[in-house]
Parts: sequence; C-alpha cells; structure tokens
Amino acid sequence: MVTTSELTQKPSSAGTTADSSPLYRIDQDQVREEIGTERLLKMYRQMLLIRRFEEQAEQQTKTRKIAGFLHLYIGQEAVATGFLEHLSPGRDSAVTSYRCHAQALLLGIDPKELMAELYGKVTGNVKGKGGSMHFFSKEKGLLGGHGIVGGQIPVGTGAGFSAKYLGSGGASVVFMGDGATPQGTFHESLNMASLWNLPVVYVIENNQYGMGTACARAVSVENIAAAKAPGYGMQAFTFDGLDLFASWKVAQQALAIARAGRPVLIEAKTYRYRGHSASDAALYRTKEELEHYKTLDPIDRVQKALIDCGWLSAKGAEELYEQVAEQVQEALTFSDESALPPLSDLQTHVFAD
Amino acid sequence: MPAVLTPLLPPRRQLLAPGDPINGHKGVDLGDGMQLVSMRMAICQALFEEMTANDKIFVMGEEVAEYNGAYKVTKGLLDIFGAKRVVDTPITESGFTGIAVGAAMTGLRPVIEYMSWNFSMVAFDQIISNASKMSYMTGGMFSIPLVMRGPNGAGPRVSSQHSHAVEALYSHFPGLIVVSPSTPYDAKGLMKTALRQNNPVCFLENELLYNLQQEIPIGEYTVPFGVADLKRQGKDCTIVAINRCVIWALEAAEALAKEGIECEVVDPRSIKPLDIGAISDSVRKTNRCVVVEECYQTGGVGAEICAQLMQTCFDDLDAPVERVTTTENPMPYAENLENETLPKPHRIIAAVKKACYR
Amino acid sequence: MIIELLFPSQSPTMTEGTLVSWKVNKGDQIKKGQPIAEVQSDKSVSDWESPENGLLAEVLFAAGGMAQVNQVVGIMTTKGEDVGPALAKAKQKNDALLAKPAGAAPAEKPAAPKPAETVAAPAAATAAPVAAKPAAPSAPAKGMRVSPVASRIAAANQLDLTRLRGSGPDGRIIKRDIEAALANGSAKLQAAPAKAEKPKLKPFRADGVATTTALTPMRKVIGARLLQSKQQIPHFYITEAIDAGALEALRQQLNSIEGVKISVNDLVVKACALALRMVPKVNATFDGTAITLHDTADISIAVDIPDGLITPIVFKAHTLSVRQISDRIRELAKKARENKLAPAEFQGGSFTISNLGMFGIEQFDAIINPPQAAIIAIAGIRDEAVVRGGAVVPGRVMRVTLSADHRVIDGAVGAEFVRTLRELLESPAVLLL
Repeated sequence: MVTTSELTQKPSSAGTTADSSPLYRIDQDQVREEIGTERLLKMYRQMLLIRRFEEQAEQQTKTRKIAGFLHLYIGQEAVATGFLEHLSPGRDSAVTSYRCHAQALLLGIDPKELMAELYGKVTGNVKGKGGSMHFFSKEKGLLGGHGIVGGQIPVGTGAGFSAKYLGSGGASVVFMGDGATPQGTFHESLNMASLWNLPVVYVIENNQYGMGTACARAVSVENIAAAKAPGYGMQAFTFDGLDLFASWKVAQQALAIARAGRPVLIEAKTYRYRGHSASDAALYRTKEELEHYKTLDPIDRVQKALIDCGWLSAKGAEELYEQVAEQVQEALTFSDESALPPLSDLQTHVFAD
Repeated sequence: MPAVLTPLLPPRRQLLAPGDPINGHKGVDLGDGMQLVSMRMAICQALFEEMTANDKIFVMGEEVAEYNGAYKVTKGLLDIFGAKRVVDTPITESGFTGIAVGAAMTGLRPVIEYMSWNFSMVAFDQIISNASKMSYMTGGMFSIPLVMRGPNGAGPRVSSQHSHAVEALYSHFPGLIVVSPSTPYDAKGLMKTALRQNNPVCFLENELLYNLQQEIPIGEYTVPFGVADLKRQGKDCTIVAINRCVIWALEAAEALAKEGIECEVVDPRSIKPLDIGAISDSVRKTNRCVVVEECYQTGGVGAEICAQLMQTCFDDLDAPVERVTTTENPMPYAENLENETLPKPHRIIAAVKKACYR
Repeated sequence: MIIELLFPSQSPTMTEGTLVSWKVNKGDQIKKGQPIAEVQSDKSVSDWESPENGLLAEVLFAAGGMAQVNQVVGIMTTKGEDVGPALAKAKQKNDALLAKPAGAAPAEKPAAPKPAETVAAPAAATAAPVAAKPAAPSAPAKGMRVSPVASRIAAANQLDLTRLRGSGPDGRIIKRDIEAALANGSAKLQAAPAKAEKPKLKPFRADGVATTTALTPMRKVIGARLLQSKQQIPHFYITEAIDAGALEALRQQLNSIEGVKISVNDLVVKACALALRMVPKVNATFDGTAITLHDTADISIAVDIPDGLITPIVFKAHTLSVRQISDRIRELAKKARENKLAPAEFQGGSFTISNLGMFGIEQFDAIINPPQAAIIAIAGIRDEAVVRGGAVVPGRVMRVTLSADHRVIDGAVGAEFVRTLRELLESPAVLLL
C-alpha cells in the first residue's frame, strides 16, 4: 500500500525548486519607526478588535445564536491588518474567502452590523441574507466574503481590470488560503493579471492547513509564491505572517508595484489558532504545535514592541483591551436586540432594479 | 394578454448582391426605414449601438477581438472600439467569467462570449455562485450588469460535447435572466434590453440561425424581457417553440395546414421570465399544446410549461400537453441518428396530430 | 465584568452533555484559555477553556452530572464584583431552561441510516440499464374519461355525458365529441315533464333567529288531550284505498248546477254518517268503563284555526243532505275562525273526520279524540295505477285510514266499517238518496 508521504515524495533528481526559504527580512526597529506611534496604535487596536470579535463570535456558536459556518481569523491578524492599512477604501478594493471578518473590520465596517449579520438579523451587513461567509461593502470596497474556495480570485482580478479600465489608480488586494492555490481559478487569474498588467496584489495566507489537509499534502511546492510567481512572470514576496511589521512593509512595496501596473504574488506564512471553522475539532495537528505557535502570538508581539519602546503603558494596554471588549459587547447587545428580517424580505433583491 | 403576431416574413431579397455585408454591424438600407440583416449582424449592431452610447460596456471572450469572433458576431468591433474595450482572453472560461463579475461589481458593464454555451459549464461556479447570487446575497448592495452570450444548442454535426441546449439548466437558478431569440428582430431588441439593465443575462443564440435574414427597422427599438410573440396564428393547436425550434415548428405548421390543422406558434423569446400569460391565452383558444425545445425532456423548459399550464389552463385542455425535445441520449454524430435526436419537423407533426386525436 | 459560564455545545445538534470534572476550584484566579473543565458529549471528551482572565466566583454545578447546553454552571468576575444579583439571575435562567419539556430541543441523533438507503437506490438503478425504461402506465381508471374542456362545455350545455361515446384514447370523450353532440342535438338531458302546479315554497327565515313563546291555554289543552289519547288509547289502524273516480265525477256534476258548491269532504261526511249507521259499533264513545253506542252520527269535523285546531260538530249528519252538510260545515268553519263557536257546538260528537286531502297527502293516521272510539283520516286524491278488469289503468285514488280504540272496536268491526265506507264512496250516487 502506498503511503501519502510516498506519493508526495519528490524524485531525488528533481530540478531546483524555490524551496530555500525566501522570507523577507526586515529591521524591526526601523519599520516600527516608519510606521509611527499613531499608526501602530491604530493597527494594534484593530488587531485587538479582530481577536475579541472572533472570540465572542465563537462563544455565540455555543449558545446557538450564531449557526452555520464560522471561520475565525484568530492568529492571522497581522496579515490583513498590515496590508489593509495601505488601502484607501473607495478607490482600492479587497476580496477574500469565507474567512472574511477581519477584512470587514479593517476596512471600517461597523462591528455592530457585522455581528448582527452573524446573528442573521435584518440590521446585519447584508440584511441577514449572507451570514458569516458573505460580508460586503460597496463604499469601503469589500467585494466579499466568498464561499467557494478560489471563487473570489477572478472576481478580485476583475476589480483590478476595472481600476485599469477606468484609470482610477486603484489597486485590488485578493486574499486566499494555501488551499486555494491548486484551484484552476488561481492560475487563470494570475495568467490574465500578468498578461494584461492589472493592479492586483494576490496574498496567499498560508496557515499551513487547507481545512484538515496539511499544505505539504496538497501543494507540490513548499514556498508557493516563490515557486509560482515566476511561472506567471510576476514578482513574489514571502514573509513571516505572524509579524505585523513584516506584513506592513511587504504590503507597502507590493501595493506600489501594483499601482505602477504589475500584479504581485505574496505569501504570508501564518497560523490559525482555531480549527478551519467553529465545528472543526482540529485533530489533524498536535497540541504541541498549537502551543508553539501561541508563543508567537502576533498581538502579544506588537504589544511587547509598543510597551518596550514606551509608546504604550501596561495600563494603557489594559484600557485599550477594555475599550475593545466594550465595543464588541455593544455589538453583541445590538445583535441580540435586533429583529429578524421580515418574511416580506424573502424574495427581495433577487434581481436589481 | 394575447401575444402580438409578428410572423417571420421572408425578406424581399437575400444578402447576395455584390457589396452586401455578410457580417459586421451594418445592415443593407432598403430605403423605407427598413434594413436587411442576418442574425449575426443584428446582434453585432446591438452591441455596436450600445457600446457607442455607454463607454462602460466592453466585450470579452475567446477570439472576439482579432479573430472577429469565432462566428464573426463581433466582427469589426475591435477596429471601432479598440483593444481596451474588445478583449481577447486566454482559454479560461471560469477565470474570465469571474473577472467579468468583479468588473460588474466595480462599475463596468461586461459582455462576455462563450464560444459555445457548452463551455459555460467550465464557468458554472462563477455563473451560479457569483453572478446569479450577488444581488440577493449582498442584500441588494451589489448588482451584476453582465451579459453572457454565445451560440447554444446543436451545431452542424458537432456531436455530444458541443451540442447542449442550456435554457432549462440556467433558468433553474433564481437571479439569472435567460433569453433565447429565434429571429434577427428579436435578437437585436433583446440584446439592447440586456445591455441597458442591471442583472446577469444568459443570451442564448444559435449557430445555425446566424445566417437567417430578416428585414428589421433601422430606427431604435427594443424587445422587453418576459413578453412572448406569435410567429403564426391558428385555432387548432398551440406550438410553443424555442430558438431554432421556431423554424422547425413553422415548417411543421405549413405541412399540417395542408391536412386542415391550423397551428398557432408561440415564441416565448424569454425563458426566464416566462410569458405564461400569452401561452395560456393561446391554449385557451386551441385547447391543446405542444412544446418544442432542444433541451432534453427531463426537467426541460417543456416540463416547466406543462406544470404551469396545469395551473392556468386545466379546464381548457382537450389533450395532455405534448413535448418534443432532444431525445434522452447525448448527441450522436451519424446524420440519421442526429436527425432522430433533434426535435425536427416530422416529430413535431406527429406530436400535433396526437394532441389533435388524428 | 460578570461572566456566566454557559455549558458549551460541542456540535450543532447537541442538547446536553456531561461535565466530567472541574479543573479549577471556586476562588481560583484563571487565565484566558486555561482549561477549566472537561466536558463530554456522546462523541468526545474535550477541554473547556476559560473565555476570560478572572476569578471563578461561583461553581453552580457538580462534576459528573448531565448539564443542558447553555445551563449556567459557574460565574466568573474580572474585577471581584459582587455576584449576588448574578447568582439570582443565573438560577432563574436555569429554572426556565430545565423546565422546558424534553421534546423541545432536538435530540442528538446518531448518524441517520437514511442517507445510506438513498445512496443504495440509485446504485441499484444503474446496475440494471434495462430498468432505465420508464414503467408502462398503469391500466386506465375505471369509469368515464373526459377531457377537461369537454367536461366544461358539456356542463355548460347540459349534455348528458353518459350518453356519449368518446372517440379519444381509452374512450376519452373529447371536445369534438361534444361539438358533434351539440350539432345533432343528441345527449341532451331530458327536460323535466310538465309539472303539476307546483306548491309555492313558503319563504323561510334566513336569519336563523329562534323565537320562544309560551303555550296558549288552547294549545295546552289540545296538547294535553292529544297526549293523553296517544298514551292511553290502544290505537289500531286500517287503511283503504278508494277509487275516487266516481266520487269526483259526481261532485263535478253536482257543482255544475248553479249555486251549488260541494266539496269532496262534504260527500265523505255523508258517506261516513251512513256507514256509522250501518256499522253502529264504530259510532261509540268510551269513558273508561262503559261503551256508549250512539244513535245519531254526530260527526266532528277537524278545522284548522289560527291558533290550532278545533272540531265543530255536524249533528245528525245522517239526516242531512249533502248540500245541508256542506252549508253547515261552511257555517261552522266560519264561526270557528272567528272564534265564535259555542261550547255545545264543539263539545261532544261520536266520530271525527280529519281531512288533509287539500295538501295532496298520500295517507296519514289521525289521533282519536276521546271519549270517541274512532277517527278517520282522509288523504288526497291522486293519480295512481289501478287494476280494472284485469288491466292496469290510471285511476284516481284516495286513501282513508281509520284509527280505532281497540278496547271498543275490534279489527273485524273496523274493517267492516272501512269496507262499507269504500262501497259507499265508490258508488256515490247512494249518498244522494
């Protein structure tokens, strides 16, 4: 009987692959200085908000107020936070998979309407019609929230097409997981973006598991962006996705390239602290592995950096935490008190006017 | 409301004179406000007129630009509008359909071509999971002004993978508009309507109808969605026919008239929304109905029409509704087998006679 | 901040589980993410992690027990708050939760066997390609088959579908069959025969309001007497069908004389009077102990009056001519309707005649008026088949029914009376003697 490892074993005479670690190195202090107090505090608070929002949402699945799928971003906060700090909502756009809560919060959508959407209330982001996987905002440029793995990649590419067509100078950031990169749409989109010089930044959030399958058992190369970008004539960046500073710095460069008219492929090596979704017991990884990654918690690292350089006191950190906790509590109360959609909404908006 | 009678009259002459165009957006001016066009020219003209009026409309697909379209429907558009607005794609139906959805969400109005609707299956996820649902799933926040067009149904002896008719498949999903015109007049009018509205449209053409010629007005006109018309009036049997089947139905009706059976041919033109009112009005008059389509019988458009007629015309039926469809087998290659698979006039005649108890 | 520790659900369908063990104690400081208990559903045992940093202020549930999902099993505080009010609220919540009937929450089901069944079915179908042919339609339903439009047009034109042969498949009646029937006028439903003058239907009250009125003294008396009669007199009944052709002819003949207006009843009264003289045992009254046979035929005639019924008497009817009887009855009836009858005019009598012939009634039985021993019920004269000379011919038939008190009158006597009456009425010229 052939084992999986035998199946995925490379023949010893395989040609060179870009497997030697291409991690983008930064000078922590330098980047911190470049970011500055205000922006860093803002991003720190954003990460706290994402974390708290996700944790509370998780709690509510156990009380059944939230049902269906719930895909949490806990552990991955540094990636989206660093990238979306560079976006101007309205001119630029972002699209992601079903793991979309962080992107929605970062682009400035009110946590109250996001939580209400998770509760399926009429005050929700999309009026209770979408749920956890389908957050959108026309004015802030969030094109979803998509349920089909890889389905969002050509859509985000289309947003880049529009930006170029209309000459808006905008860029499109397309988030996806490591599990999406084998999907046909990934390749079709990258090929066309490169062919037509579209301003798209593709960000692979490699949290090392596509649902229950380790990346190494699904993707034929270890460093996805590094290996595949040359295949499409594109530039690649790979960085430590648990490091906010690296994320921010790489994003800065990637968006500059995109706005100048070339797509870029990014890979963030990150980790998710929860299962694929709320109902995943995550038996495919060991407790030790999880414990190890918890010591690298991106929020703790930012907090440490802020406190070490004196930009935040321990008390200040506590206050910020309380503030965020209250903000999320407000969202929970709002959602509890909101009404379900009226039955007359059942068939509204099947078509646009 | 009874449908309007708009018979497919033979044009006063064919496009055969030297200098006559065979494609492109220009028709032959006949001098009295009418022009002579073929089906492909009518569609091209609609695209040309709407792209001129609205610079957000662009055309995308395989071979649409430099090749002028695999079936020359987009002939000349690249020269007029340039490569930004007439875009050749690699062979990536799923990819470019998704790109069109993203573009439609961010201010553009794409027209994408499937070289034939068989290839839309590759893009099925983008059409169903994205295009059809975006308005509903976002609570009305985003709309998808997208036209997907291309030839549908059997071609000339092109066998099983290239012969699907997809009306039933796409009309099944809420959020999609499905139209299937049979004449140049209908095609131009429906395409203009499609390009001016804000929902995803499956515009189903037919390769073997591209050369069909008709006199149409030179002036501006549109054909609304959801309105059927009569291609022939009659009192004995209603034939509801879709796309190329309209031509076969008219042939069958001519033959049946010689035997004293006068058929009324109703062309729905839109499959979704369906003008069940016009179909019902006709059936109330004739008391019998035969549906002719190129989809397969199981779950076909005829199945839907039968179910709806049961509701609207139960007390008016003298015989069960008959369906003449592509038979339940993939399209074979051999000529004689293909003839028996398709809903051709001889099968339509038999079905009408059965419904008339003759 | 007060935090309620709600027993967590491990899966979308779980409703309860076991709190296997606590990993912390009341009063412990707990870190966020620290396991505070082991919880078990029927699928697995897992750690329950603390949602917050704080103090475990109260433990409300003992380890080893079965808890409901969302049951408050503990309370944490982040800043050492007083848990008094929270405890009370938690208890309230738990009471409400546990009070719900067991059936309210969906039970955790084991993997349903059904999916396996449905998967098996298509596999079986594809195994035998021959089976892909649709089954032959079942045999046509019994009974008439009509197309919907044919049915509708037939109904609108009052066609009798049972008289049509369908030319459609399986004998289905179709539109052209209806059109043919309409063209040649066949299958029309029979027009109803020319009706005898129809009794007018009295308008009825559609509003459904009931009214209650107390009995008048007269009704009370009538009621009491009739009740007593029915309960205490052993009635028996003899019915005879009279061929009334001659009777009617005689009446007609008499009435053709100017100034003469004789009713059938007048002739019947005379006939009864004669019959009572011929069968005197019927002309009797009984007081419970003794029978009195009467000499004279004093016949009570039942007259309908507004408030009920009264029976004025034609005394010595056997001595009166038919005309005299007729006048007398008219007079009495008028008085009766005007409430001007003297008691002597309606108290007494030896025999009663009750006539419902004017309603065309076929036959009825009357109730004896005590102390009389008998009463006769005269029904209407109707067209009926009769046997004459060995052949069945149309005749005019009137049924008379004698109700007799069996204490006084025997069957044979009653029968003799009725037969005598019949003979008189069927040869009615004798009434003029």
